[in-house]
Amino acid sequence: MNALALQLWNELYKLFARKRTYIGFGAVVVVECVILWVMSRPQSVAQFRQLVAQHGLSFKRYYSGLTLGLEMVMWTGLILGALFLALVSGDVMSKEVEDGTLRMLLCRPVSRTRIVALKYTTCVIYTFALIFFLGATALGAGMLYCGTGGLLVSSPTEELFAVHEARAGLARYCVGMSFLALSLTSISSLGFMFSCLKIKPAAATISTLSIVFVDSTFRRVPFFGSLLPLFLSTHLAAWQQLFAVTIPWTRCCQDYSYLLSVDAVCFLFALLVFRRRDFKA
Amino acid sequence: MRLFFVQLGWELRRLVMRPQTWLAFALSLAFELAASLLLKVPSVRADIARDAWKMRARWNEVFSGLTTAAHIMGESFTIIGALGIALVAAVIVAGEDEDGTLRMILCRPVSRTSVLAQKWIACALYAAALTGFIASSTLAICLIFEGPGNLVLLAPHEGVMGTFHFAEGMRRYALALPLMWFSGVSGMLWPFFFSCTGMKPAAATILSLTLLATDDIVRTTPETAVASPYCVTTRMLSWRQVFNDDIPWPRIQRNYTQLTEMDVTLIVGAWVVFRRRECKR
Repeated sequence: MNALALQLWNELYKLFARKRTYIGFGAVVVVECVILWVMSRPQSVAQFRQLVAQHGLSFKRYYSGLTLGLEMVMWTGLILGALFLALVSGDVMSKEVEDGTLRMLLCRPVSRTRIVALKYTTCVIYTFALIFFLGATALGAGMLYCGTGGLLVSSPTEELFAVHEARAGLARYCVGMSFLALSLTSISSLGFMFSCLKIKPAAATISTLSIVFVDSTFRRVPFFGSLLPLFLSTHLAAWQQLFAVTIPWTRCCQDYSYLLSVDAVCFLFALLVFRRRDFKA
Repeated sequence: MRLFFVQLGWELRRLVMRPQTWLAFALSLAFELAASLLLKVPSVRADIARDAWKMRARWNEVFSGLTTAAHIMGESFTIIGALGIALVAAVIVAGEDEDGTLRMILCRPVSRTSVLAQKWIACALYAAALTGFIASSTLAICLIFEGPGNLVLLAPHEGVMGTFHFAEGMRRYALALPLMWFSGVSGMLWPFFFSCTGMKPAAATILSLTLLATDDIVRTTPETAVASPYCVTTRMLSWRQVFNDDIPWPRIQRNYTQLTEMDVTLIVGAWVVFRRRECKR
């Protein structure tokens, strides 16, 4: 058990020693600043004021750091998450194959299953780290800009409109970030699966992104409304239901069962491919 | 000059030999087939028929192979095309640097400017080939699936709405091609620039896609739509304007002039960085 923890630690050390691991964290901060700046323009504020007034709510109370933070996460979470999770998870195995360090790794008396499991766990930890960072910085930026207050959630695509008091809203926000991270683990799983195939890291990243972007494009087509349950992005958006006044737990359980099944299939496929591969480089 | 073209020929040969060059072709074909098949699902057709009925239009007047081709081509080019072009442009310098072959190329009595120009032309030709392939394969697949007929194109974000007979629709479709290629070249220059800065290929790809994705988020998010006239993607999608009943040529000209200015800046930036770089591997 000690050896397993030590190997996991070393995998994490390797991951966080690479410069490209931090590109995601840097990009998240830059993008949030840009979006916050655009959202603070008078026309955007007027639009929000109109939305709040339509529902007979107080603008001052709900134009808060929590609301802006959640807006930023909703708009950027899937796209930025997909980009950087695909980058890191698509790199994690194929880069070692390309550099030739995997052969050295396989020289040690460690099973291939353990190596795959450790690298996959590293990807999952990175997913949670990136999403918690995204959530924390969005909330921090929002609070710095317009202070504390209640949480207003408006997501037309998810048919969601809800308001929460500051304390309850913050609790929902924290739980929401955990579920967002759990959702996006499916993207990391896809990237990891491609990374275990015999392709270059950049190709693994692009293949993952193609699936995610094509899927979310299909989901946005209004005529495909009857096919929504088939699309991965429908289930990836399940975390937003955590902000509903009454959380639809049955729907959330169904969505997360689907996502966990995707994770399991990707992991098992990656394991199967990796165990049978011959590493010549 | 003859030597320049011989070297360009070798550059193209190397590009063609890489498996990742063909990835976008395969992915776009898969996307087009998947979209065409999904449009055949009875519930999807019922939704389209309902919308056509609401518009007081006959099914045959609005729904044809040309209509689906124009819509699918747009999505295929925006998603798969952008990913494929970014992948190739990011690998063309950074990949060689990573593999260590760039040092060997620089040993020859060829100026760095010439090497960079050949790589840029190779990328631009790749963008042309991919654009042509996406347009022709989409048209062929959609005509096989749905048959010929009128072209109706709606793109609310770009303010495009047009209805044409088959012959005029085909002319507009062909007219969109060179503009799409031009947009593709503009999209290609971001990863090409990052590729010259010493980044890894995957990082260059993701960083350029992050820029474009952030720009697209700002353009399409209702709260930040106020900034859409300033977005690069607004200009890159100008090719869709040829599907307007009256083509707004001054607007297209203005947008592509601004894109050209951005392209020149990026080419000069890439050239300056590449000339001053020390390739250690």
